[in-house]
Order: sequence, then C-alpha cells, then structure tokens
Amino acid sequence: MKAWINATLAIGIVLTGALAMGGGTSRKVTLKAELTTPVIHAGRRQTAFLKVGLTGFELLGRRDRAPVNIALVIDRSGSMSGEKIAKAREAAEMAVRRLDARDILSVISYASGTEVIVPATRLTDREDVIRRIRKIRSGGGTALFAGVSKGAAEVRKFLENGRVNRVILLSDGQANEGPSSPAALADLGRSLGRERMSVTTIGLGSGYNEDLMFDLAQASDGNHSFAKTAADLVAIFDREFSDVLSVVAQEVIVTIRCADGVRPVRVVGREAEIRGGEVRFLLNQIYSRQEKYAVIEVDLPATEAGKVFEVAKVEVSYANALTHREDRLASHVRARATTSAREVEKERNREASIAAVEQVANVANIQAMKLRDKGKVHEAQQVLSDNAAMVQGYNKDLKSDKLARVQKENREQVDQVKSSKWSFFRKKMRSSQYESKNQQSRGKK
Amino acid sequence: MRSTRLACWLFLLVALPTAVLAWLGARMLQAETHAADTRVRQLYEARLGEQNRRIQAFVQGREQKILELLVDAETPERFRALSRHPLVHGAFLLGADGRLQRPAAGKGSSRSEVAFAARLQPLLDRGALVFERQESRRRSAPTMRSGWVPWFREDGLGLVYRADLPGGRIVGVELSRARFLADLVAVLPDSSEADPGFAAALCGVRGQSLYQWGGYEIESDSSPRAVLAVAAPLASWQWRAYAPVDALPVPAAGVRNVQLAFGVAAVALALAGIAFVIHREIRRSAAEAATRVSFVNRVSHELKTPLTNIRMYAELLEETLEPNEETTTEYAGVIVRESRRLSRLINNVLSFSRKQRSSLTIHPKPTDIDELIGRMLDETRGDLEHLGIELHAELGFGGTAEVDPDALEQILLNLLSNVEKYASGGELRVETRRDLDCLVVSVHDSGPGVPRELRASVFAPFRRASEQVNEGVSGTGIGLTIARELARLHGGDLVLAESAKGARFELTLPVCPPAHSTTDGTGL
Repeated sequence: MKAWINATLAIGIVLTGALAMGGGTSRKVTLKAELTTPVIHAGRRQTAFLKVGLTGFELLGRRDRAPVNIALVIDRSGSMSGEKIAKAREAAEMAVRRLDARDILSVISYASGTEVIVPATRLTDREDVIRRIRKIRSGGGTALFAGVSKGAAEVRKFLENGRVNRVILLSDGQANEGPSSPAALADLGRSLGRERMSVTTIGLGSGYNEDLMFDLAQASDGNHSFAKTAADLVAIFDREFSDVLSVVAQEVIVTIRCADGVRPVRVVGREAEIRGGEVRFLLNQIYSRQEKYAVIEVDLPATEAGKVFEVAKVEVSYANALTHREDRLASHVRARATTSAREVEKERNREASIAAVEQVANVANIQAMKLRDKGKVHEAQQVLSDNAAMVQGYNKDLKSDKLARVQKENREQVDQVKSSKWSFFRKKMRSSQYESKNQQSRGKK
Repeated sequence: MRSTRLACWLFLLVALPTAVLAWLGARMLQAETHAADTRVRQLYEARLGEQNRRIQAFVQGREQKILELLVDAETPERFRALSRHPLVHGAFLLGADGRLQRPAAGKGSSRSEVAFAARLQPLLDRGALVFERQESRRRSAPTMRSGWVPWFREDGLGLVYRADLPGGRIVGVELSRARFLADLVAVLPDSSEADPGFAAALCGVRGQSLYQWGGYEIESDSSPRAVLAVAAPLASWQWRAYAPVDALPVPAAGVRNVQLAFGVAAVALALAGIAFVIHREIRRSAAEAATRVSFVNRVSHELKTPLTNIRMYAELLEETLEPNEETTTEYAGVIVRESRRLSRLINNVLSFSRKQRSSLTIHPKPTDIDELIGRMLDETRGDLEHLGIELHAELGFGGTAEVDPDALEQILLNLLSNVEKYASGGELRVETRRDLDCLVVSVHDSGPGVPRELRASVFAPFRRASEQVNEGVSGTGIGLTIARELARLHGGDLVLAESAKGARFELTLPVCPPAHSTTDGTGL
C-alpha cells in the first residue's frame, strides 16, 4: 500500500511540470453525472439511477496540500490500559510527525473527565507535543461525548477557510459518561459537519459501540475504521492522515435540479434534502484522486422513442482547498428513449451501474443487520442471500471485482449472523458498510 | 442505711454533673458538626456557583446569537439557511393566527422538515409558542419579545427559543441538543491539573451525568457534598459537587465523639475522686465520733459503780446520823441529792449511746404506777421545795400496768430535772390518769414555759432553750430526747402539750384495758 502510494507520488512529481504547463483547469474537481441507463425504454414510466461523481484533482507533491486543523481525541479509559494505550500514543506520535508548522493540532484525552493535553496551536514545537502525548496514562470511565466536545471546541478556535478541519476520535469502549446514544452523537456530528468539521472515528477491539462511532462519522462526513488489534492502529492512523492531507475541496454543495416530469425518489444510502424536484446534499471534502459519489433514484416519465430529453441539471460548488477560491461546476444529464431492450442493455453505463448496485446492496445489507439486531436471524439470512443473488445477477454482465467482493461478503455474512462471534463480525460488517456508504473510491488513474 | 444514703448522694454528685456535661457537650458537638457541614457545603456551592455563572454567560451568548439569526429569517431563503444552521435542529414560522406557516406540510419541504413539524405539533397544540400579551405591548416601544419555551420531552429537555416578528408572527428554532451541550461542555473546565480533592458533575433531568470534571474519581455510590440547580432555562439540570471524605480539615464526627467521651470521662473521674475523698473524710469523722461516744460510754460505766457506792453510803450516813447533828445531816443530804442527779445524768448518757447503737431496749413488767410515781415524787419533793417549788400530785391512775419501771422512772426524772432547771419557784402539778387504754402522766410547771419557736425542736438531741432562758443552767441536752425515745419504745409518746402558763409535758403509754384487770382481780 505504502509502496504503491510512493510510486504514484513519484509519477505525480514527474507529471508536475506537464500539469503546471497545462494551466489551472486541472486544479479543479471533475464532475461526472451519468445515468445507469442513458438509453431508456420508450413509452413507459421507469426508474433509473443517476450517479453523480466528483473526483479530486492530483496534488503536485508532498508540500502541495491544504493546511490542516486537527484535534486528536484519545480514549484513555481503564480498558485502554496496556498495549492499547501504548499503540495509541505511538500512532498519535506518528501522526504528529506527518504534520508541519502550517498545521494546527490539539490533543485531548478523556476518561471520566477530559484533559486538553495540547490546546490548539500551530505545530511549531513537535517534540513538546510528543512529550505531552507520551504522558497519557489510562484509567477511569469513558466520557466520549465530552472528549469530542472539547476536541471540536479546539478545532473551532481556528475554523478558517482553507484549512481541513477534523476531529479524530479513537475509542475502544462504550461511552458511559454523558450522552451516549448513537442518535445524540449523530446529532452532534451533523452539527459539526454543517460547520465544515468532520469527525473520523476509529474503533479499537471488539468492545466499542460501532453504531455510535458509525453514526458520528457518517453524520459529519468523516471516516470510520475498525482496528482489530492495537497493532493495526498505526496503519489506520497513517491512512487517515493520508486522507486528511490530500483534501482538495471542501464545503461541497451538490444540487440536482430534475427536469419537469422527472421525480427524485431517494438518494441511496445518503442523507439529502429533497424538496420537490430539487435534491441537495453536502460533502465536507473531496480527497485527491478519489471519487466521491451519490446515487440518486429517479422516476422517469414515459417518453416516445427516439426523443432525447433532459433528465436533470447537476450543479456543484465547492471551496478549492489549494486555490482558496470557490469553484462552480455544472453538468446536464440527458437520456434517449428506445423501443429496443437490447439497446438499453447495450448502452448501460458500467461504472454507474456498479456504483448503483453496490449502494442498493449496501442498503439491503444494513437492513439485514438491523433484522439480526432484533434477533430475526432467519430473516437477516434471507435478506443477505437475496442480496448476494441480486449482486450476482447484475455482475454477470458488469463483471466487476468490487461487486464480486460485495457478493462474497454477503454470502459469508449469511453464516456470520448466526455465529457466536457476532459482535466481532458485526463490527467488521459495519466497517465495510461504512466504506460503501461513504461512497468514495480510491483513484484508479 | 445511713451509708447507703451517703453513697446515693455521692453517686448523684458524680453522675449529675457528668450527665449535664455530656449532654451539653453532645449538643455543642452536634451544633459544631452542623456548622462545619454548612461551611463545607457553602464552600462547594460557591465553587459550583462559579460554574453556574459560566453557564449563564454561555446561555446569554447563545440567546444573543439565536436572536440575531431569528430577526431576519422571514424570507424563504433565509428561513432555509436558519434551518441548516449548525446550532439548529429545526426552525419554524407561525402566522399571526398562531398556525404553522413554515415548514409547510407537502411540497416545498424536505422530509426532515416535515418530520420536525410533526415533532413540534404537541407544542403548537398547547399554545406554548405564543406568549401571553403583556401590558408593555400597548406602550410605544416596539420591543421584540423573545424567550425559551419550556419543553420536557420523553428523551430530555427540548431547547426551543422563539421570538415575535412584526405583524404578530412568530419565528423560532429548536436547537440541536447535542451541539448545545457540546458547546456548554467546551466552556466548562477540564480535568487537567485539577484538584484531586474535588469533582463536579453536571446532571440532566433524570440525574444522569452529562459532564464531569475534577481530579477526584467519582464512585458510583458517592453522594454529593453539595447540590445546586443550574440557572434557567436549564433549571431542571443540577450541579453536584463531590469530594473525598477527608477533603477538608473538618474532623470526622467519630473522632470528635471520642474526644468528647474522653473529656466527659475525665470530669467524671475527677468528680469521683472528690466524692471518694469526701466519703473517706466522712467515714473517718464518723469513726472518730464513734470512738468518742464509746469513750464517754466506758467512762460513764466506770463512774456508775463508785457513784452507786457513794450514794448508798451517803444514804446510810444520813439515816444513822443523830437528829441533833443538823449540819452533818444537811451535808449528807446534799451528797445524796447530787449523787442521784449524777446517776440520772449517767443513765441518760448510757441510754443515749444505746439509742445511737440502736440497742436501747425496755423490759416491761407489771408495775403499780401510782406507787412508783408517788415514791419518786417523795424522793424529789425535798429538792423541789429547796428550790421553792410547791409540788401537787394527783395520782388517779390506780392499778398496775405493763411498763418498764426503770424507763418510766427515767422519763419522769428527766421531766422533773427540767422543772428543777428552768422553773424556779411557782408550783408543779403532776397527774396520773387513765384515758381510754392509756396511762397519761402530765407534768405541768408554772415556769417561763417553752418559747414558741423552740416548741418544734424541743425533743431534738443537744437542743437547749436559748441562752437568755437557760442562763446559768447546766445540762446535756439529751434528757427529753431519751425520755421520748423510751415512751415510744413502749408504743406511747411524750409531747409538749398546750398550756396557758408554764410548760406541760404529757406522757401517754398504752396499757391493758381496765376490764381486763378487773377480770384479773375477780379471778384472785
């Protein structure tokens, strides 16, 4: 993985000159709005899926990045004692070493109470921060809410445009001091997200409340990862910081205005505002060379054969993290009607279809998990096996590795939902759901 | 008996002050403990009050900010921006009729807005969002009224703030609770470098801890040292202060109880010491007195034998003297009289000492009362006449009675000796009579009598009439005491009776009824 990043970085550096000459256009996010079926059946109403994808542009080297404003919130409750807290300190230390004097860092630890170990400051004295991190000792309860609150307050001190604002939360336990319901944390995450602040949650071991961590990250458009053992922490922190340090766009507002007669049904697996024919959602950030997307189910009107019509206009505005300018993008989505079913299948957009199938499968997967939570093991197994069959059916033509993986996971989960190690599998399931739900795919350029 | 009473008194001397002291000490300790508790509580309350002021300042800041957002939220665009504000969970706009205008059900509203409108419905139904018209509305100042709407939901406190808009419309928001609390937490102190002897917790409606800080780890069973309600609009929340038991230098009640117990014990010990000394002194002096009495007793005994001899030989001498030897006869008479007086005195002393030892007894036997008294009076007549006292005897008892003749003689001798001492001149009237089943002997002189103030104590030992009265009169002061004691041993009594002139003593002794003696007589 790391080698791969280094290789791509090397290519990036080689390309720098060429891109610089190419002018400012490549310093913009790429918008791609496509229907899964750009050619539709004529003469009848039908639903189709619209994929709106945003891909971050490439950075021009190590120094070419937006400054960050990060709060590290570290659980130091009694259950973190031993290797866990040691690895957490190590991971935090590693993270600090990846930042420089442009960045702002604060470190907060919490047990029953909270301690602001390093208040938000420009990172000019790395060694001092590391010294303070090394002093973190475990013991006490888990005041997760208070820890995140203090972390957010530290980030807010430098909540300026042009910085990537993030709270990174590491916990191995159930929140037992202060608000602890997933709903309350989601509420907080939503509020922080609206403030251009994301919360990344890293769950360690099998004792943490994955729903709470999932919802907090999801509501604020942050990342969520599951670290099986303390040894994984360093790698996860590394990946998280790679993400944070590669943000190219922030405050991304996507507006999809459907044409007359076209009705948006839902945005698959994403919270969005649907107001009549207008769909609006926010993304907190877009990472370099990664695609972020949304899949919107639309109800298309009956159209006569051969007619090309406009389905929707997609508008995107975002703050460019590197140029500190607001960029605007727009795209028109059109469709053509045909009487030939073969043509419909032939013209099917493969990438959009893969994304749509993945998202629909993910929604079903989440539903299966909820059934399992209610103790309905058989129903959950039924949903999972139907889901696997559905994915398999689509993948016959699409032949996507990703969908093959999704199908395999769903198949495996049919057994896992009745396993005695369900609490462990559930965290794994939640983590992979999050990855799908996050609707971002790493660059393949 | 006496020593039991003494022990009781000494016990009271120790116990009473000890009990009073212990009670006072306990009361003082209680008051002091209470005062100390109050001081500690006030101290913690002051610390919590400081945080309360922070909360108040925070809430005021929030109100200010929300008000700014609310003021120009009338246009659809701005209303939408208000709904999307990070602090806001949902926004609403009411028309002048109090009905919900935005978010409107149906087209133009997102799903979350529709859900929010439904959530708001209970508040609308009870008219909580419309504030009562106030007097100040009529005045010219167009003040915008705004404020919190109390909203207790099942899942906790709902934070709704609303404001009046011109034209009677109302705009308001429900704040994001989590965000509100998170920002509140951010202004409260954290636990770094915290006092290890203190912790405070902010608790929600159901007493659950929302946030805590301080160096002291609160145990699940710790009870708060002080509790303080949070200022409005969060009045259903409260602050709780916790501290370890030994956080402040207030000695524990147990320690001070022990101190008090030691103090009381010390006082009790000191008192017991004093009581012991007193007891020992009393015992010693009692022993000394007993020694003295026994000495006097022995001396009296020793005196009795020679005196009897002196008396006997003086009487013999008096009888054998020739009538012409007048001077010698007179001298012998003096010896006889004085030795009789002396032997009466000795008898009194011995009787008194027996009484003291509770070994004074009588030996009743049938005695001819009038004969005995007549003989006694004959023997004393000379002496009385010598003092110018005229003796009148009326002996009307007639018959015998079961009495101790020696005791009766001693009683009468004491009474007569009193007469000799105090009633010089005048006449002495001695009567005996039967009164029901009693022998009554009355001795009535025409002397100065017994002063009124002494009448009550005339029978008490060592009590003698005042100096004025008994000037130049000798005596031991135990004669009447002995006389009454002997009368009482017979089951009778000796009293000082009322009389117009002089002193009248009346001796009453129970005897057998006359019918019995009559029967006896016929039997003979």
